[in-house]
Order: sequence, then C-alpha cells, then structure tokens
Amino acid sequence: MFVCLWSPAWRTVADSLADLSPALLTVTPRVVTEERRGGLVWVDARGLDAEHVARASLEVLRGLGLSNVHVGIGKTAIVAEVAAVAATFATMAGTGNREPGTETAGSEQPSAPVPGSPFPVPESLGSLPPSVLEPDPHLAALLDGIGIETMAELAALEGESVEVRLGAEGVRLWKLARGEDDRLIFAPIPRALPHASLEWSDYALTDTERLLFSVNALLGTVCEKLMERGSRAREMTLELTLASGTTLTTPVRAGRATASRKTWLRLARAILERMVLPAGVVGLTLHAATVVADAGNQGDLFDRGFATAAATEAALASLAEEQGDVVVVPANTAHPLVERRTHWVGNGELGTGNRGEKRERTTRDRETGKGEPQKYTDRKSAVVREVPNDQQPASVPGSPFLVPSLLLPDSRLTLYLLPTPRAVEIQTEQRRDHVLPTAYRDGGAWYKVLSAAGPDRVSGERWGEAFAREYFRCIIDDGGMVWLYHDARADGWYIHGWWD
Amino acid sequence: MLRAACRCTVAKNERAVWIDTAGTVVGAFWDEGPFLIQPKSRKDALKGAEELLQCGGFALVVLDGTEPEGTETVRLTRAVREGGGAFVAITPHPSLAKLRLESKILPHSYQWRRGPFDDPVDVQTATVRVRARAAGWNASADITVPVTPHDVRLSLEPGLADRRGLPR
Repeated sequence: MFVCLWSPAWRTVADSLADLSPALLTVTPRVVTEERRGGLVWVDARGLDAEHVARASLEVLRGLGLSNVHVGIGKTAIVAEVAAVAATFATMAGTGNREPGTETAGSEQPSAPVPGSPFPVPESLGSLPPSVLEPDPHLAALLDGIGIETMAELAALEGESVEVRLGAEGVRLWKLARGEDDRLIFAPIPRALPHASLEWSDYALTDTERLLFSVNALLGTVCEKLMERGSRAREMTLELTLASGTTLTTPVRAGRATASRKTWLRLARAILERMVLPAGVVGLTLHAATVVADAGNQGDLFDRGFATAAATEAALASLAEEQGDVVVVPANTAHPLVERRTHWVGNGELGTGNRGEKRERTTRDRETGKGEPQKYTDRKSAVVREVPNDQQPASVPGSPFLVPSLLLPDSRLTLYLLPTPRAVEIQTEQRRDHVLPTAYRDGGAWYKVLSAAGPDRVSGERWGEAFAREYFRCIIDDGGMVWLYHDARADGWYIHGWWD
Repeated sequence: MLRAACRCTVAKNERAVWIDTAGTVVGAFWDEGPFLIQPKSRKDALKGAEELLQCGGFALVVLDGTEPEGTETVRLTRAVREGGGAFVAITPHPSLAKLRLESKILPHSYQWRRGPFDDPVDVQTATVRVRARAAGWNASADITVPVTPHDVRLSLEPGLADRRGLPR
C-alpha cells in the first residue's frame, strides 16, 4: 500500500520537505518527497499495516508542529495521491462533505471497481473532476468539450475511443482515472554485494601464507553468497586492516566473471605472494566489487562440445588471467600493407564455450540430391563454398536429416608473415622496366629463385610513415614460395613472408 | 594443411586452437572458427598449450613457433593423454610423437597463370608431398592444393575505392 501525505501549508515550506524525512523514517523504512502539487510526501507501507503507518506518520508530523496534513492510502500511487488532495478539490468543487484540514484515508472509503481496471477506486474519488489528475490545459479543454465532468465518467470510457479522440496524453489520464499507475515511487533497494570480514586482536599476522587461510575461509562465504544470488564476480576487493591503524586495499581481478572459490583463491594467492606488508594484519575484509549475473548459455544436446564447455571456459579464463588477452581475433582494415592491415583484439566472449561456427545449410534439392551444387554458408564469415555433387549430404533412410558425407574445408597454401621483414642480400637480373630477383641470401645460405612474379608496387602514406615497395612472389629451389620486396625508398631487399 | 585440419575440426562441432607464438599468422587470411592464441613468450606458449590440452575441451591443439624440448615434450604428452585431444607441434624433433608428418612443396609443381608477355602472374596450384610415419607404417602422397592470392592493394590510401581501370 502507498501512503501519501499532503498539506496546503507545505506550499510555503516545500523546500524543507526533505527535513521531514528523518522524522518519518522512524515510522517507515522508506520515505520519498516530491515537489509536485506543492509538496507530496510518500511513505512506503508495502508489507506493513498501512493505516497504522498513516496514523503514526500524522502523529510524527503533529509533533513537528504540522497539523493541517491530509493523508491518502491506496493500492496504487495515484489513488493515494488523489485521496490525499481530494478534500481540497471536493471543497473547491462543492461536492465534498469534508472540511479542509481533516484527515482523509482512502482505504476507509468504500471502493467501487472500475470495469476492466484491476484496481478499485474509492467511490468518493470518482466524483472528483478530472482536473485533480492535473491534465494539460489543452486536454482539459477537450475533456470539457466532450462533457467529461468527473473521473468516473472518464474511467468509464473505452480505451480505444480515448486513444483515438484524446491521444497518448488522454490515455495516460484515462489510466490514472481508472487507478492504474505504474510510476516507480520507491526505487528498488540495491542488494548489498556479498562480503565477509574477520578481525582478531590477540596477535598481528605478518606471514602472507597464514593470511591465505583466512582469505580462503572468507572466499568460501563470499562465493557461496554469489552462487545463492545467481551471480559471478569479476572483481573482488581485499582489505587488510593493519596494526598501525591503516587499511591496505588491493583489488583482485579475474579474467572472466566467476564464482569459483578455487579460481579466486588462486588469484588471491598470486597477489598475497607478491605483497609486502608494511605492518602486521589484524583484520581482513573481502568484498565482491563487481558482480555480473550468471547468465548461462543455451546448450545444444547435439553439440559435441557442450559437455566440455565449462572446462574450456575455465581453461581460457585461467589463460586470460595469467597471460592477458591472448585469445585474439583479427580486426582488418583496408590498409595496403598487409602487416598494418590487421589489428589483433582480445575476444573475451570466445571462451564462453559457445562456439558460433555452426553451419547453416541451404539445400536446393533435398529430394534427389541432384541438380546444381549446393551451397554451405558460414553464418559469420558469409563465405559460400560450392560443394561438388559427389560430396553432397546423403539422406539416411528413415531419418529426416541430411548427413554431410564430406565437408572438409579445403587445404590451401596461405601467406605467413615474419614479425618484422628481414633484410636479405640479393642477386637480380634486369627486365624491361624492373629488376627480378634470381637468388637471395638469408641466414648464411643462398636460395636460388626458380621463378618469380612481380613486381606488385605498393606505395602510400604521403603524410605519415611513407612506404614504396615492390613485391615479388618467388619460388625457390627448396620448393617454398617466399614473398620478397624491394624497398624503393631505402633501396634494400627484404623477405617478408612465405606460403605454407 | 594444419589450418584445414583446424577448420575441419570446427566443422565437426569440436574445438581447435592454434597457438601462434611467433605471430606469423596474417589476420587478413585467418578464417573464423578455430581459436587463435598469441602468447607473449615461449614459456607462455608451452604453459598455455599444456593447460588447453589438459582441459579436454579441445580436439586439436596446434603449437606453432615454439619447439618443445626434453621434459617439456614429456609434460605436453602427459597433458594430451589427460585431455584426450590431439596435439600437433611444428618441430624438426618429433620425439614422442605417435604420428610424424613431413611435407614439402615440390619446386616444379607450381602452376602459374601467365600474362600477355608470358610472364608468371599468379600461382594457381602447387603440389605438396606429404610423408606420414607411425609405428609400423610409412606412406606418402602428393596433394595438389590451391594457393591463396596475397591480396595486394596497390598504391592506394586506405578507405579509397579502387576505381582504376573502370571505363569513364
């Protein structure tokens, strides 16, 4: 139940409404003040005896010297609010039988169900004019024009006709007249993050190994709480209270959010092993600093890797914690130089055990397995490969599924690059407008070039780090194909990569 | 070949990981599917390989750019047994390996596409001789494979569309 307090006298003390809160907090756990209507005070009576809370609140306010206070009680906020201010409106409209200054409690009034509305609205509130809901002047004029004089008349209209004739603002007002109010008066109370602490006064610990035992005990509590609330921690804070009176705060971060005590203990051990304590420790507090929801991924029973997803995730998480973002994916640009084209980015989502490489099958001819070659589309890369007819999926008798008989990705020679191009000594021969490498020396050995293709001239970056290269693909006598280039600016030859 | 094996593993709904210690993999030619790990040092690569093998979640682990030696090979072999996956180390010292594969591109097997002046322009295919050895088994085969073009982009600033050669 919502309890709303309102007084005409607050029009002069609206700024000091917040001063009422400490006194009202002795009655109820949550109090919210609003500046609308000259000042509204909301008292959270949900789960409590609303009438008792209302009376106690009035007594508290009387104690503060505020006597002319109206109180409204309602299942929804709008009912409580209108009930609180109703006396004034009733007097203004000449329909009410209550004197201003008397206390009004919405719950005490007989309620009438509005057709289709889940909330009963006190009958006396239905006789109030729609202006009690504070419509904008344009809408108030429209309501007046169609002859709506009371909230009950407004609530009795059909939603569709209200929407058509009065628009969105009219629908909002219509809902309020029916007692429907989805305002969030009291924000949800944030749950305290799991934490645990331990203090001792007889001695001071200086040995981090002994400290680890206490950390282990606290981790048990914190991880258990995390699992109870279905969340995982990404970061924890370890606070060591020192004998000198100071506090040493150390963050413990995991590569991936986890509620595994084993993982956190390993991380805490790694930190404590490196820690130098300036004084003995007399207390220990462990907070879960950053917590995320434990949103599990949908599993696939036909996925062979599903059973090992958790183990894979744990292994990749451990790798990320020890070595950083080493699981990478390429982010490619259109740069002319291959080595500058790619930026490797850590992919934190790869280790979730959910492999996104599932293939989407497009079948043109399911019935016969004949006809044009079928296409197998990789969902992510959108690479469409033609599969020859003799490798088409075969239908299994009695099974509705097609079984790929041979879906092997094709082998091919692909370019690999040296981390940095290596200078080589070269022998060349003159061609029409360029020189062609015939042999090169790398690592003390000479390699004869059997055939070479090129040059592929690449240049650019006039304003940046300029480059001008002539690339050659060379077949050498041991069978390898290497990528050589002539740096036209520095007049040097380099080996840049090879095909394998 | 190994990259094709990785892709094949992923196509069968299993996981494969490529540990690229030397940083030789070219991003522009990396196909999605297998995990790619770029450790910062040789030690990190070996530790990572051991951990990934032990976890049992990877059907294929390829270690490229790092040659395990002596006790390191033994540790990795044990990890393979624990995890039950397959481990490939690219090394000239294949001790403790169940299957040893050697491959060599035949120098005169390249098929070139030639230009108007009969110059070699583009490599189409090459033949790789693969020799496999295991206990009591020795076989070899010649496999002709296509060659990925090197995707050269000539003299253009990044972001500009290449309109050269288009009819005006």
